[in-house]
Amino acid sequence: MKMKKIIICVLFVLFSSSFVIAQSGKPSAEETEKNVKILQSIFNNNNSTPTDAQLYDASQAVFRLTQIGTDAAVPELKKLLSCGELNTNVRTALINIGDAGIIALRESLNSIEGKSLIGVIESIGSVRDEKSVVQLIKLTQNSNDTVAKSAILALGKIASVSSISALKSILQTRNSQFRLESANALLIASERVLDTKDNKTAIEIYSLLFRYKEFQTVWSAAVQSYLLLNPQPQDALQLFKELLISEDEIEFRTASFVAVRIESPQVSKLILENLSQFPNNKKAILIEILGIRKERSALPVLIEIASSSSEDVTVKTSAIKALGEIGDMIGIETIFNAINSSEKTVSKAGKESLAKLQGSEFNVTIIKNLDAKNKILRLTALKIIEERRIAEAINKVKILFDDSDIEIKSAAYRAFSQIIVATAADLEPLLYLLQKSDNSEEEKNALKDALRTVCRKIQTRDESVNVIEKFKNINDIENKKFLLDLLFLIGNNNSCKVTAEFARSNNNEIADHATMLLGKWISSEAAPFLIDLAENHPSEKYRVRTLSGYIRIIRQFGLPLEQKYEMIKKAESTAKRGADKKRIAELKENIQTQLKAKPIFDGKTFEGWEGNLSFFRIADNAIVAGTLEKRIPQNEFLCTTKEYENFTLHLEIKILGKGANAGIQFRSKRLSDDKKRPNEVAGYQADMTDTEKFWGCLYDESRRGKFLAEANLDEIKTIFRKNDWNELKIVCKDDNIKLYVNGKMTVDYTETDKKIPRKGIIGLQIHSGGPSEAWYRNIRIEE
Amino acid sequence: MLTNKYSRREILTAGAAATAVSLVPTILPANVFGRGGKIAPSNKITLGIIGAGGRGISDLKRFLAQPDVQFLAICDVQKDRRESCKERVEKENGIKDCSLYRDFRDLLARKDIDAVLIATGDHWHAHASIYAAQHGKDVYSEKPCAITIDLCRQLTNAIKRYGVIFQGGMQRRSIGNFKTAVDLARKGKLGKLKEVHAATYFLKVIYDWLPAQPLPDAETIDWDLWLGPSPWRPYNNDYVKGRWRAHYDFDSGAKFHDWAAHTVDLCQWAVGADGSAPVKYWAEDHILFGMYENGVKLVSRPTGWLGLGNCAVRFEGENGWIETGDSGRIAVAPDSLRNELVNDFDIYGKKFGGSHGEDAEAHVRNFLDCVKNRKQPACNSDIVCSTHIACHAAALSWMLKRELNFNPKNDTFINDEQANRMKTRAWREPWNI
Repeated sequence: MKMKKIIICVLFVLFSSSFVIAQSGKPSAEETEKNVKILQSIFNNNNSTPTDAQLYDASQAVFRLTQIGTDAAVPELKKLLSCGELNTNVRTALINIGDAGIIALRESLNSIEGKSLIGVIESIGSVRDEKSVVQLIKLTQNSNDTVAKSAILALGKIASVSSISALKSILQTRNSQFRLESANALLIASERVLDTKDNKTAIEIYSLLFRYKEFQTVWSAAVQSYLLLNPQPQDALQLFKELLISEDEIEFRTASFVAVRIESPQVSKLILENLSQFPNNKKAILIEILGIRKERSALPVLIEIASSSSEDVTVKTSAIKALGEIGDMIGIETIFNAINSSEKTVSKAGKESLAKLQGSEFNVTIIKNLDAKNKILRLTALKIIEERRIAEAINKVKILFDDSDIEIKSAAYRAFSQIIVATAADLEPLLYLLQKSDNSEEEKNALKDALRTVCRKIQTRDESVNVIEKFKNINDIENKKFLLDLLFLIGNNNSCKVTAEFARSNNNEIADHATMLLGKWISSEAAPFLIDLAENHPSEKYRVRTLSGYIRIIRQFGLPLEQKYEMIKKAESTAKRGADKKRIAELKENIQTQLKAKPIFDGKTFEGWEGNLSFFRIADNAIVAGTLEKRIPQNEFLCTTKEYENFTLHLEIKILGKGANAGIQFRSKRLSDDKKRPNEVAGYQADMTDTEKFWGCLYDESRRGKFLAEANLDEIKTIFRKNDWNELKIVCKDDNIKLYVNGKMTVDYTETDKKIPRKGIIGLQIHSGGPSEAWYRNIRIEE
Repeated sequence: MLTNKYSRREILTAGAAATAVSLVPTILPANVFGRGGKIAPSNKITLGIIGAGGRGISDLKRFLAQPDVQFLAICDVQKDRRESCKERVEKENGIKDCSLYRDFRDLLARKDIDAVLIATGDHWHAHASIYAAQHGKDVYSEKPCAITIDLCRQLTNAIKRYGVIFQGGMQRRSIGNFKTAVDLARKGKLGKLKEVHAATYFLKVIYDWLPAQPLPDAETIDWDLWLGPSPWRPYNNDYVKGRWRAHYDFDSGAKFHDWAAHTVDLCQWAVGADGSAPVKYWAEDHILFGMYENGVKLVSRPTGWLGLGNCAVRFEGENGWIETGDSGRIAVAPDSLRNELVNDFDIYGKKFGGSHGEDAEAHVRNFLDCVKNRKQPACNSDIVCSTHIACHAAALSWMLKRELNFNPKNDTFINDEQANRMKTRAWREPWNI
């Protein structure tokens, strides 16, 4: 039973909350009153515990008040501060309402107890209510420890003179748990006073906190902040030094933190002076820090450490890393040697660091290393040429194609592919090399990498496809599949066409690979090939697969709707399997719905519409009828030039101005021949005003002059958005007319009078009366 | 003017005196504190996990693959999760002696833990991070890192206040194909940037409660602790099994952040807007727009992508565009830009030197390096803060169904009180931060 109740509430509140959300950005007296009444009806009738369903309703009412509540909600909210289930959002609401809400919170500090009080204190702290300081100080003595600690924290957030002084006193007098809490609160307060440029108070706080080393985190934070503030450089440096050389982990960590954040050259100097006395783990970290600081004066020391045979591996690794971070060419030789190291971490760091070096002589040094005796150096040089795309190396690299060493050869292929500006002519020699049957696996892989790179960046794509086609009878099946990969990388219409030809290969492996690639094709160009294969491929497996690829393109690519519709129809006639048919049907329906509703207003011009344009204008992609500047002397209509019979009309409407009235005419006609009222339009009207009144009602304008069907006003109240956009849908099918407001059906009317026309124009009205505006936009129609 | 002079001696002797008269801080449960004490050697980083669900364990695996991590503790409010996590790391990673906790405060109280991995539900991330910072722990937090605009600001303030290292779990900042795309945009290879596109989910927000179910005992599932700082509501098993998304109290913003925290983040990076955010937001259906002060348009959309994988981004400039996603593949136009691509990826997106979009390995490594050398990591709290604020503002414009103008310098919506109210939430007691 309870469940049912909740569900009913859920439905109700879902509508009403979306209604609130869509309103303008101001607090609403009307909405406040409504929600306060909900709360009163739940909590003021009797003293019994609310049911789950009532709690739910109440929570939603409170939630709405967080967003639109006014001062009027404060008394009722204040009562709920002690309600454990609701008080969190009650506080959100009170804070949001502003002064009156904060006064209520402040007053509650005296009257509320236990857990709820903790929440109130939190909120007082979050709004930094200085007027609560006296009460908060009292609460720091509360017998409930959590209450007392919360009060301490709140005092820290408020950070007034008196709250800071109270915290200092707690720090110096109370027992340890409160001392920690107030140390923390003081740290928070220091942030606040720094925001107001009161460095003096902040420094006073830090210097007090320095005395509490037992609160490690706070202590370390205070020291860090103090050093970064750097009020007394000489003292600060002395302090930094002592932290740095301390054996205490926390002190060292604090020094490291500061060292990567302050610029003073003295910091580097201190680190360098003391470097040798540190144990290896700390030494390694400090060397990294020198790198992060880009400390050029450390270069000689770093080179010495990196080259030393006696240093610890971790320390050496850090030195190599630091040489890379500093990026000076002076380290290049050391780095090259590191790459050569048998220690994996050192060698890896060397490679990473080499990649970071900068300088004009860099390229020269690297190219020179292509002649080095040491093979690792030659390989490294090739790798760097590849990564940095050092084009000057091209001739030397090409020579290495004939090197006797397979590793060198392979690296040369890769480097070559990176440094050239690739054209189709570059493909051919590489493909010949690949075709050679005596390649080792390693060389083959290198050639493949090089070919991939060339194809990925090649700019003469059609010519490249021609070159690849020349090799299509390449003997090895793996090579043939690889050619397909290359076509995929080239990724243009021509390469797609050739891939599709491969897809029909008698060889199953080739067909499999080609269809797989087509299914992932990067552009919609693959569509015609895919549908062709889906229809005609001899194998069912590939017909199914290519159809999936085709559907993927319809679904994922941003194609025009009309094109998508044509495509889905093709897919529909091709599909054989039940699962595919179902997917296609869903997609088709989706496209159809979008397609059916065609815009009949282009957002920019009155094309397709006619009327007295002195009362209609276009703004923000909407038609605006009337004006808020002056009265509307008589009814005015903007009408379609076309007539509609059976249709679904979608549009969005916003009505502004007190007492405004407007409406949508349909199956109507102009009374242009009526001399007394040539401005009028006769026929069905979906009526509307600036309030929920008449919304969703069907009126017979200038004809029978009465409401043909009316909406349920209570229901409309839950969905209507005042002064905002509302969606209206009109569905006319033969004798039947249905109106929907914001997705909810309001009227289901069947016309019994055979004489009433079932066809006519559509018109947008602004009713005569005071200054008012009716905005109409996104006007779409399905026929 | 500062009159006192400080030296280490003064600071430390005063500290020693204070220690002599004080007890161990009693906020720490005594038994746990007693067990601690051992200081880990600096070359091993000791780690605990808070929130051991699917994503948490996936991240944890990346940590455990690193040679300098020592894993000590698992915390989850659900018994089956903490136990199955323990079982997995024991079996698959040979971890021994890792302790289980239901309440993360007990884990944070351990002095021998250097860093925590936070992978709870969204509504806990910022609070857990702030408490961890208070305890001097370095933090790797899954995204979204904070569920309101104000909380983003509080998070980064706390991280800076305690001087701890914070890495937001937007690991795509550390992954090759995304870095390449951003690099191209930032170096001006695309010409003057016009639009940046971020792949996102379809949006959804639920304000109602799921039906009440009988409350399990706290040892099995601690519902009070699961709810944490969020407003009270009755228990339902769906929430704790991960189906809390889109619920307003638990989700960062109508499901938007789930991908946007990654993709809008990359857009922010490409635009050079770290530390700032767009100044105008509006929504059309499920497409969210933002406008940066320099005229670059942010487009967050769920559809219309080239099919390059999840979490796609696309940067469009006057001279060309680039698009990439989790597959690692990159598409560019015009053809002349193909020459700019780094040779990091093979055609199926598996990289020679990199990894898949969800793989946090490089991001985790970056965090661990910074834990040691105290440098700012790739996704530090300031970056996390501005990216999330941009996401929150965009999601609010969708929820409120109207255009919002925003001043990123003081986090204020212009002339929209309701939007400004939605920047803040009160927290359920006793979760004061």
